[in-house]
Amino acid sequence: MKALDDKLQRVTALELNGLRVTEVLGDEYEKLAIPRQGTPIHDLNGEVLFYRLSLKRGRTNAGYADIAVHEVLGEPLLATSTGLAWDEKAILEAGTAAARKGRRSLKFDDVRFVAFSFPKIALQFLQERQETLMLELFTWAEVPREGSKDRKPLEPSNFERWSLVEEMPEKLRRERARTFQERLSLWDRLSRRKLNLTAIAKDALLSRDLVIKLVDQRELHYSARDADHHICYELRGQQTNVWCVGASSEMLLNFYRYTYDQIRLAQELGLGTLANPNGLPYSRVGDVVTVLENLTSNALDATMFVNPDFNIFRDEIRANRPLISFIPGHSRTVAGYTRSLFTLVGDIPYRGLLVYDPWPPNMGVITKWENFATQTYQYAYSAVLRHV
Amino acid sequence: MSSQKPTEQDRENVAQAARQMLARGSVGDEPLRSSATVGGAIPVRGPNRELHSWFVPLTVGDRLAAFFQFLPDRTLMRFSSFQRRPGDCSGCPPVAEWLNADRIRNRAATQLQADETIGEPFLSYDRSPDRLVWAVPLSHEHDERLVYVVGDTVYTPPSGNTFG
Repeated sequence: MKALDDKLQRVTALELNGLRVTEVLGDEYEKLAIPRQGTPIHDLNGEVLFYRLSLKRGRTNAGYADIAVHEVLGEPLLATSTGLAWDEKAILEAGTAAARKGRRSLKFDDVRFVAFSFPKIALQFLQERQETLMLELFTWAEVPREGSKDRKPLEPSNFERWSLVEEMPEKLRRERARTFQERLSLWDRLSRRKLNLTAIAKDALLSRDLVIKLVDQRELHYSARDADHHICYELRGQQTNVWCVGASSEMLLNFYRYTYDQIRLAQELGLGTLANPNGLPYSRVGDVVTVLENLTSNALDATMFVNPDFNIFRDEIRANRPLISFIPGHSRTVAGYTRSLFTLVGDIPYRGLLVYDPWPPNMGVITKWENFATQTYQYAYSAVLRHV
Repeated sequence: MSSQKPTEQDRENVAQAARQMLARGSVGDEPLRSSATVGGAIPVRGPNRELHSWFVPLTVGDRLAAFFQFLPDRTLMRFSSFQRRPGDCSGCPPVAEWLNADRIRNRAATQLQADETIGEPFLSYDRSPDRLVWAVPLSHEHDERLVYVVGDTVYTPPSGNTFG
């Protein structure tokens, strides 16, 4: 067992308490102690990937948390469980007994835990720093020495040993290093406060002078100064059952103080008349850009995004710009976003959009929030105000 | 989407999920939470009348103030409000416009052609699940067509690939 510096304990506590305060972690985690020590789990190349910390209630092992120390893993908290206890000493004893069984001549002077096929773990027996045997944890099956050749990185075959550190593509590695450091920076700032970071408690992060940001959220305002005013955006219902694009364009233009009614916008967009309206054909999605620019004498520089991801919406709202959002058969506008900041690694954080939807006709609804995971986003349009 | 026929238990489970979300403050604002009533869950059916999602109305007096839309597994798709300002229901549609089957049938009846009979409305959507409508079957002998009713708008399902 390797002694850890207190930073690891603090990071573990901040990660787990962040999940506890948002009730991602349930009551079974309340008052579990977080140790200063844990079991180092190595990459196949010898570097430490993460530590497995045993969470205790009194003297009982009640669960564990895996905390990354290697940037290649992207975020500090990898996993946690209260259903399966972690007893390093007992596992070493069982593994050593399994290793000696039928191998009387086996020699080793060191044993370490290795993520031989991340996240699968094995015990690696070493003699003068050279491997003499590797057994998969709990099954105690011997891990073959040679991996398959002529395969793509990160595509190992079953029960093959491979190095996560060495097979990670450089681009992905850089991205993960960035997110890892961002997360550590957040916790470094919090660590300077007087918080009890030796146990999990629902109120551990709720001190009088500390506001934990649980979500990243923004809505459109009159300016980029969020504190000054409430949301600055207005809903327009579509005037016919096929004028959602006209109504969406009206909302976006209204935000920039251009007043065009839907009848005029329908003329520009080729949507017919109030008495004989039609929708915008799929083949003419580019017309929205042209119309927004023409009707503002190019004061607005419009852009169309194909299959927009969440970051497109987030970045535009952060820049205080509404978007028109096309989904199959329909158009709406987006005036805000939210996303949860606390999730377990592997879980998809909740991401939602504040949607000003012109449907139903002559009414419209404000959707707060639209679950981003349940919608298909085909096109989005934003407009940047050009300064003279 | 689900091919399963929704049960009363499904309906109750969805309504219960809505009540819990409202009580927890996960959706809506304080005036709405203190004054709204969560109605019964209504199945939203797709083009082939399969279960797509659930609509759960939130009423204040005689007004439909907001609604939930859940997937069959009770994943919240959206929470949508007709209110323009917190506590103000003056612009919200009358509940009867959206939930009274007779009212919906009467609206659809304006589209009846000779010898057609009117069937039972079901909550559906026009191309996108965002565009909720009541689909009303109009039948003549073995032929059936649908008309869509949403508020005071009644129309025939549009043809062609358009955003509208």
